[in-house]
Order: sequence, then C-alpha cells, then structure tokens
Amino acid sequence: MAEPVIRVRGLHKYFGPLHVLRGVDLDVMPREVVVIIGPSGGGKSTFLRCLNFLEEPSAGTIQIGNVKVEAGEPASVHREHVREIRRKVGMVFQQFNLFPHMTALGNIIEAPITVKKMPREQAIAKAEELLEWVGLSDKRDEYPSRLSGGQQQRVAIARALAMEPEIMLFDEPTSALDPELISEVVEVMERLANEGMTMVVVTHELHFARDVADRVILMDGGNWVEEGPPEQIFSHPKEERTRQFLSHILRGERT
Amino acid sequence: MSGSSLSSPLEHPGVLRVLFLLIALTSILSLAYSLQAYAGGPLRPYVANPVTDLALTPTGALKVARWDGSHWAIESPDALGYAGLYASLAADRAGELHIAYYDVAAGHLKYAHGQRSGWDIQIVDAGEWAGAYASLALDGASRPHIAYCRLDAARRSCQNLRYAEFDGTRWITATVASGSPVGAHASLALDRAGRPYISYYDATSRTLRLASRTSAGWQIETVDAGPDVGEYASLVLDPSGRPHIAYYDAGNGALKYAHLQGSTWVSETVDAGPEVGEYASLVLDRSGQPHIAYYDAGNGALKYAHLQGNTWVPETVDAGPQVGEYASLVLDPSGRPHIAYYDAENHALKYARLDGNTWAVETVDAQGDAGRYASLALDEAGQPVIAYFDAGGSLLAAGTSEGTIQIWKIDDGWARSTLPGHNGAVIRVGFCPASCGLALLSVARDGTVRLWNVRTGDRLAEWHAGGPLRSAALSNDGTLLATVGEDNVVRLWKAPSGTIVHEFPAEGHERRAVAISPDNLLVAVGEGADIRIWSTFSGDKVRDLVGRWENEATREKWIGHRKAVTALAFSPDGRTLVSGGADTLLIFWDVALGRVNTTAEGHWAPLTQVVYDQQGETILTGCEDAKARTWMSNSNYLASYIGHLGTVSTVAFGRDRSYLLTAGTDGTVRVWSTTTNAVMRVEWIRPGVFPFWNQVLSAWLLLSGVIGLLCLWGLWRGRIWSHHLALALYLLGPVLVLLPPILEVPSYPLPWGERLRVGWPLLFMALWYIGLVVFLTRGAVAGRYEAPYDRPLAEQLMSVRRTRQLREGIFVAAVWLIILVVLFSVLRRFNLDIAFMLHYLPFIMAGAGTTLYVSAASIALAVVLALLGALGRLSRNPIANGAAGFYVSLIRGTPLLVQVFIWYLGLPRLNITLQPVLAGILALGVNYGAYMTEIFRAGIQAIGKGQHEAAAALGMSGAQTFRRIVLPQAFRIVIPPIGNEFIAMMKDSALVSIITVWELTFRAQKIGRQYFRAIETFLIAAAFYWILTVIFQFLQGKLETYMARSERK
Repeated sequence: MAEPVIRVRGLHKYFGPLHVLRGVDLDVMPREVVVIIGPSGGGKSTFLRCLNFLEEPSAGTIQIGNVKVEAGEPASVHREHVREIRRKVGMVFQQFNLFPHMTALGNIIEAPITVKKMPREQAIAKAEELLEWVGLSDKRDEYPSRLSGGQQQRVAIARALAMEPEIMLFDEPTSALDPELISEVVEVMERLANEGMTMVVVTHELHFARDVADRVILMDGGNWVEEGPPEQIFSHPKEERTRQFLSHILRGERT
Repeated sequence: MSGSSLSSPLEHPGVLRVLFLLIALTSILSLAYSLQAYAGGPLRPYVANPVTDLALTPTGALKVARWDGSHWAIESPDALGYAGLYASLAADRAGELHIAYYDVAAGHLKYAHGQRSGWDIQIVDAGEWAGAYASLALDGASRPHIAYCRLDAARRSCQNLRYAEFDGTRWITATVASGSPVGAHASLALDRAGRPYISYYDATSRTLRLASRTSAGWQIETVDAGPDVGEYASLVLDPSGRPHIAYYDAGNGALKYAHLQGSTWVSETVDAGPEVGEYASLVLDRSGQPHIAYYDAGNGALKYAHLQGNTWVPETVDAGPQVGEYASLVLDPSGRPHIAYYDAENHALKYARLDGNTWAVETVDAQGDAGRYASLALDEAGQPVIAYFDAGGSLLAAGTSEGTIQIWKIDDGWARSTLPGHNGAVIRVGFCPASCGLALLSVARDGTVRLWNVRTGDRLAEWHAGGPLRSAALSNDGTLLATVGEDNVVRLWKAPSGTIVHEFPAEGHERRAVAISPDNLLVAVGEGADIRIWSTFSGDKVRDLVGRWENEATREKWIGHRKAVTALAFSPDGRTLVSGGADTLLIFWDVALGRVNTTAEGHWAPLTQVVYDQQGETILTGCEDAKARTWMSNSNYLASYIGHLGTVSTVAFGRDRSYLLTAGTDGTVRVWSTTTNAVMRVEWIRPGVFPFWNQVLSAWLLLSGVIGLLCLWGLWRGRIWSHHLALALYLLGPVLVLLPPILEVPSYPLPWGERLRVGWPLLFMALWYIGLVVFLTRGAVAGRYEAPYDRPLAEQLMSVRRTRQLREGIFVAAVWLIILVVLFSVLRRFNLDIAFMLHYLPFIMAGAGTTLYVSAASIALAVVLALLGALGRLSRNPIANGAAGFYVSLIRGTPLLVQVFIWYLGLPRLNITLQPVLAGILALGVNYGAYMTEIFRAGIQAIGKGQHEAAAALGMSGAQTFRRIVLPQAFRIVIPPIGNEFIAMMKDSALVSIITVWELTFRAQKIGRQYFRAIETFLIAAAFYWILTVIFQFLQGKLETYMARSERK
C-alpha cells in the first residue's frame, strides 16, 4: 500500500466568526481522482484552496507529499513550506484567471520561466506540447480575450500542467462555462485522469464524477457527509442529505 | 429590389432637376467670372485698387515774378522747406531786391537778398516760430529792417512783436512788445531819419496800436481803441514823418483810415459793407493823398479807393467768386496804381494796373497754388516785381496697380479727378517742379512713361523705357528718371524728353531699388543685398556699398543687409543713403566713405519705400507689415502709423510737418497727424474688399466651377461621393473664402452704407451657397445619395449609416471652421501685428522643443514617483505608507507655482545650483508624481484578486506577481490618464517660464515685453500649445488602441 500524497487532519477554517471547515480529514492516494460535490456554501472551495494555501487553515495539519504543514507554524518555515507545496500542486480556477496581457503561449511559459527558471526555448517547446495536448495549437498567439471560455479553461489547465505538478486541484472548472463548452474541458480532465494525475476536483459535473472519479465525497456544513465510490454515492446513497442533494441536482439537470 | 430612393438614378424627380440646374448655373457662373477676372475682364466689383506710388506737388516756395518788358520771369529764391509766407518785398535804388519771409517748416524768419549775382538767403531770427507777419522796409542806406511776430507754441497766434535790423554785418533783433498776444498784422515804416514805426494788432484788447522807437526806447500808443479794429493794418509815413494807417474794422466789417492831426488820431471810414477792408494796402501819392487797395469779402472782389477832396471814391478792380486777397498796392511815378493780388478761385497770382480809366488785369502765375502773400514793388526801371508764396503741393497724385492715376486737390476739400494712366500697374508718379509747370510724370510696369497736364488731363508726351520695369526713381527736380528693368538693366533718362543718358548693364543679382541723389550726380541701385552707385555724369561706377563682418576673422555679426535691398533714399544733403531691405533692416550709409553708419530695426517685413523730409531730419518708411514708421536721421525710431490692412506700398511727407501720407495694397490713401499719430483722413481709390480676397475668391470660383461640374456629373449618375463632394464644396469652401472677408468688411474705414455696398456681393454669394446646402440636405435629395443603387440591398443598407456619418462629419468640420474663422476675425480686430508675429514665429516656435522636452522629462520622473507613491500607499509597511501619504499630502496641498519657486530658489541654499531646466523638471515631476500616485494606486487596485491567486497558485512570489502580472496590466489602465496628465503637463510647463526656462511661454513673454506686443506673442504660444495638445491627443489615441490590442474589440 502506497502512502497517500495528500493527508489532511482536523482542518478548521474560520472567516471571522464564520466556521467554514469543521475538522476535515482526507487522504488522497497517488493517481487517485477525488471529486467533491455538495451544495453551495458547504466549504468545498475553501477546502480546496486550503490545500495550496490560497486560504490559510485556522487549525489542523496538511501534508502534501513529504511536506507537512501545521497551522500556526513559524512564518519563515511556513513560507518555505507553501512554496514547496505550490510547486507540487497545480490549480485550475472557476474563472480561469488567465493573464489577459499575455498570449496563450505567454500564459503557459510565464511560471516555468520566472519560477522554475526554465530556459525560454525549453519552456516554449513544452508549452507548445501542452497546447497540442489540450487541442489549442492554433491559438498559440491569441490573447485570452479572443478565446472562448472553454478554450481559456483549457489554456489554464495547460498553464497549470506546465509546472509539472504532482497533484491538480480543480475548483469548479466548468461552472463559468456555457453548457456546450463544458464537454471540451471535461474531456481534457478525463484524459488527464486517465494519464494518472492525482486530482482533487470540486464540481457540479456529476457525469465527470460518475465516469472518472475513484471516490466521490459529498460535503456540507463544513465537513464530509458521505464518501465512497461513485456507484455507491449516486446509486445507493446512505445518507438522507446525499439523496436530497442528488435529487436536487438531477432535477436541475433534467430541466 | 427595393423601390423608392434606391432606384435607378436616371429617373430624376423634379426636385433633382432643380438641383442639377442650380449646380450647373453655379458652376458656369463661377467659371465665367473667374475666367474673365484672370483675363483682366471688366467685372471687378468692389475690390480695392492698390496704390503703388504717391506724389505731392512740390512743397511751398517763395517766388519772385518780374516783368521784363515782355513777360513775367518767375524764379524761386527759396524752394527748400515751406518758405515764403508773409513775403514782404522792397526794391532799392540799385535795383536789388529785399524780401523778408517766414519759413514754416523751419519756423524761422528769413531774408532773401536779390543781387545781380543771385540770391543770398539769410536766417534773420532762428528763434522758434519767429517770422510771421514779416514787414520789411529799407532805410536810406538800403539796409533792411523787419517787423515780425513770434508765434506761440501752438503756432496759432502772435505772442510778441519783434523787430530786426541789419547793421551791415549782422542782424540785431529785439522784442518791441510782449506780455500779451500782440504783433499780428505788423506793418513797418521808417522815417527819413531811419526811425522805425510799427503798426500792429493787439489781439488781447482788439485794438490797433502803433509802436515807434525814440531815444528812450519803444513808445506804444493806441491808434484806434476799437472795439475790434486793427487787423490788416498798413502803415505809411508822409514826407513830414506823420503816420497814416489803413486797417480793417472787424466790428463793423469796414475799411478805415487813420492819421495823426496834430497829436490826435483822426479815423474815418473809407468803405463800409458787410465785410469790406481786409488785406488793406495803403500808399500816399506825391500830394500826400491816400490810396488803398483792399478786399471786399462780401463780393469776393478786389477794390481800390482814393481820396478825392474830402470824399473817398471806392471802385471795383477785379471781381470773381474770391478775388483780391493779399492785395499789395504801389503807385508808379506817374501816380498810376498797380496792384498784385491772389485769385483764390484759380489759385493764381494776378496783377492789375490802371490804364487810363480802365483796369488792365492779367494772370502772373497760375501754376501750383501761387499768389498768396503777394508783395508788389517797382524796380529802379519802374517795372513791377512781385514776391509771393506758391503753396505748391495742393495736388496729390496716386498711381494704382490697375493703371489709373488719381489726383486730389488737397486744399479744395480733396476734390478728385482721374487720369487714364496706363494699361498696367503704375510704379512711379512724380510732379515736375516749377520748371515744367503742373506736369505729372508716370511710369508703368510695362515700361511706358507718360507726361500729363494735370489740370486738363491731357497726355503731353509718351515714350518707352525699354521693356518691363521693376522699379523707377525720379530726381527731385524732375529732370532725370532712372529705371530698373526686369532684365536688371538700369537706364538713366532725361525727363521729360525721354532721351537716354546712360545704361548700366545687368551684373548678376536682382536689382530692385533705385534712387537719384538730390544734386542729380549719383544714382544708387540696390543689387541683391549690396548697393551700387554710379555717376550720372560719366556713367562710371563710383562706389559699392557692401556689408561687412564686424569681426572679419571670426565672421561674427554681419553689418549690412542680409537680404535684398528693396528701398533707397538719399538725404537732402546727399551725404547719407538710407536703404531698406527684405531683411526688415533700415541701414544708414555714409555715401562718401561707403560704409554703414547705423542700422535700425523695427519693421517686421520687407520695406517698400524710404523717403527723407526736406530738412533731412526725418525718414519715413513704408513696409509690407502694413505699417509706416518715422525715424530720426540718427536712426532712432520716432513713431509708427498703424491702420492699413495690407502692405504700405508708398509713403510721403505732407506739405508741412503736421501730417504725412501713406497708401498701400488696401487701396486707401491715409493722412496721418504727426502729433497724435492717428489717421485724419482716409481716401479710397475705390471702396472695395482687400484685393487678396478677390484673388482667393477668383481662384476658388475657378476651382469650385470645375469641381461643381464634376459633382454634377456624379449626381446625375447617382454617385454617393458626388453628394458628399458637393456638400463639402458648397459648405466648407464658402466658410473659408467668403466668411473672412464678410467679417472683415465691417472694419473698413467706410460709412455703413458703403460697407454694405462693398459687402453685398459677398453676402449674396453666401446666401446662394446656404440655399444650395439647404437644398442638398433636403430629405428628397440627400435620401437619393445614401446608398449605391446598383448594389445588393444588404450593401445598400450598410452604406446608409456610413453615408450619414460622413455627412455629419462634413457639418462638424464646417462648424469647426466657422468658429475658427470667427475667432481669427476677432483676433484681427485686436489690431494684431501679423508681420511681427510672422517675424518672431520661429523664435517662439523654438520653445516648443523645450516645452516638449521639459514635459517629457517631467512626466518620466512623475511616473517613477507615482509608482513608488502608489506602492507606498498600498503597502502595509508603516514607513512606506506614511512616507507616501506625506508626499502626496504635501505636494497636493501647495501650489505648483510656489513649488517651482522653492525648487529654483531653495536648492541653491544647500549649495546645490541647478540649471533652470532641471529645477523646472524636478518641480513639475515631483508635483505630477503626487497627483499620479492616486492614478497608479487605482490602476493597481483594479487588477482582480483572481490574477494574484492564479500567480500564487503557479508558485510566483509577490514580487514576481507584481512585476510580471500586476504592473503590466495596471500600466495599461493608467496609460490614458497618464496621457491626460502629460497634456496637462505641457500646459502647466508654462509655469517654469517664471524661472527663465526658455520654453514657449518664456519666449512669448520675453519678445512680447520687449516690443509691447504681448498679445501677439502669447497668441503664438497658445497656438503652439494647442497644436502640441492636438498632436498628442491623437498619439494618445493611437497608443490606447495599441495597448488595448489584447482586449476584445
């Protein structure tokens, strides 16, 4: 049995008086695809953002690979830890967050060059490879403003992959997309999963969850409600809350 | 396909046919007018006729007419200045003549002694304005004695009575009476012992007085206590030395006669009437009986009265509208009266003599304005001699560029007449002095020279001066004419015969100016920037007047003309030559030494004419800068005369020093007071718009005629462009060519009715074009030209929007143009010195570079400071935040002007001395940095959180994120506001002029103050700021487009 690449223990997060995460625990194994679903305000995004410290946990420990971060550790140590973790973890945002002043290629090579100090030619070669992989070779020199949402998100994925992360976090990657553009992004994510990337995905995209996820977690009220393989969660949910949520979602999908 | 407006163009509805007709009519009329105008056709409505040269008849002179038995021989003892008023003549037994007279121009009493060898002129009293009412008498030794008065400062009334006598070697002058205005109408007589008696008018008490010199000094008694008597007094002494006086009683309008009986004065009325007795002249015959010649103003007649027994017998000698002023009476040895007098109707000197029982009347001198101050005497042979004043210059001639010559009688209410002149432009007109009577010589550009009788308008002679001419000069005495041909050959001719004297072949540079010296010995020609002088006698080159370097070695400071010499004039003494050049300089050359005496500057454009006054004290210049200026002979600037609308082509001194004349391309002759420098009279050759506008209009009509026909073809074919073109043509064109003159005409020196008369063709045309434009923009017309009829409907519909936008654009352009033209017209009314502005434009323009440089350097500094300031303001670091906050607060809380001063004046106290430019850049940069801090802060804050997170998720550090992600995006946001700040900065950079940075404002201020023309220079500066701003607004627009390339359109 391999060691989990993500190990979260007793993670709490407060926004002022608001207790958003209530002692969350999670282990993610290498090459595992974990999909977190749940109603809005349930803490899914916050949890995901805590994993690469875009949000600082209020309490608990997060271990990514061999880097273990405990809430409240000295700032100097913490900064170094965060840096290491961010090298291993890539993230894709709901709003894509591409750099509007750079072309698709520019977006992808930016971090390898500035952060990894990769030679420019190498970064470009790698970026072109990635663009091809996400199917956007022809959009190499387009600015984000001239790309569709789906194309932007694929560039964003390529951008994250350019840093060669061990883990990819997806924060509702398809929520901002028009329905007809969702599939092109999902298709890329599926390919990524098939290639063995460890992924933690927050999404409402139940098809993706059902087809790709190794494990589905329903989150509400700042903690897990139910977790299990997709068939179990979607076909035979144990918890009433899960059933409610699923019926709610499915009703939404039907209309 | 759609129907209606997008249908085929060849089915033209009625409204279009009317439009076609209108445009056809407009084009054909335009072409017709302009073509006939270029062909020199007859239609030239209400365009001023430019004046090319002015000439006054020779100025007033003392003249003497002598009957030699068969005819009157006329000579002019003193033709300099304005001499000969109050002439008083006496002939001695040896036949020599003695004349006392007043020279108005010099203000001196003069004495002319006519001997066999010629005339000897002496200044008797060189005091100010001394010499009016001169009355001369000879003592037993034929020595002259003169009574006269000295005028007050206003030169209106006599201030005191004076007396001068010649002791054989010099004149001894004394004041006889003073204290109150006395001395007018002085009349002098000497008794046998040579004791002087002077009768005169006391203007204070209005009485007739008599002064006589006794051993105890001057005794003064009242002859007639008035009221209001004593003008025109004429005194004689009888053989026993008792005085007799004829005089005018202004109170009763009567002629009176007074004589001493015992010790009491007895006065009696000789002739009474409404106004009888002015210009009385009294003589006693051998039996002591009085005879008086006098003027009857009521009848305008010369009368003569003598005492028969105890009754006065008056008779009329000569009658006319105004005959008999300045009467002077003598009796010949046989007792027959002779009278010289003035005929004001014909401006002539007349002479009457009683022949038996009838008066024989003849005209002595009818040229010029002869006959005033006539004084008659009989010489040793008993022949009459008359000294008199010829006022001369009562005629003004103006040559015009249309070829006609306009003549005015200045003294006669500026009555005008026209000589046919020449076929082309007249370049020179000049009167022959006395020698050739009232003849006018005119020289035309085509080389014809004509001589005219001014009174009759007859052409007396004509000859051709060998080819087209560029310039010409007539000598002072009218006997020599120098011409400069277009072939640069200078020819010298005898005038008025037209025989050639010398020819000076072309030598290279263009010759433009020519002058003949007063003694007729030299002819000077401007050749390029040099002057060549030839002898008129031998035809040899005498001297070259060429400029030189002040320091030959370093070639610094050229002394001389830098551009072509355009005007030349010799001083009356012939020693100095004054040259005006295209380089605006006025240079005084020493003719003998051939070098520059002094250089004067003050005009701002090429000079057109330079003239000396008769005394050689004042120089008058005309210039293309629309001004005339006067200068002292030492080159000091005296005054300028501003008012002409265009080039002042010609200038002339008036008959006396009180006025001068200018004329120019605006077709007006203007008379200026030399005391107030204000215009006193404006004479138009023909009222009309400034010829420039006619040229513009003619050119435009030709162009618009052609374009109009092109439009017509396009409109007929239904082309969209033709409608745009027609709109632009008939809207923008008239704004440019009609509006400026329409706005200018109301400023012409004309009554309103005349202005309307001059302006109506322009107004009519304007209305015509307005009508055309209204017609063009009517829906029924414009709608047809919104889309190409032969294209698919989609394309037609697309076209409509573009078409309307373009049409709106044309109207917007028209509004801009109208406002600009109105603005320029208003500025013209500021009486702007356009030539001055043009002259200093390059100098001020050079400041635009500094302004740009200072602004650019300052904005660069400001950007750096603003970035730091913004980082500080956004930082949570208290030191950075506090420092930035303080910087912004302090700088925004104090005026920029004060900061400029503090930087410039404060730093030297720290022993840091900065160039003004550097101090200015620091002040502006630091100031703008503070304001722009807020702009940068807003720009940085506008970058969304997502960008930071994305960068963070990629592992980028804070600094990397800021440099690579935030800053580039923030910059794009702040570029437009920075552009605005830069434009504001360019204008605020004017403030650093206060610390002597040589930018636009400083230069404008410097020149403006120096020449008291600040409005002009600041307008130039404003124009440049505006131009710079417009350019940078355009560039900023381009930059914004470029920066926005990554954003969706």
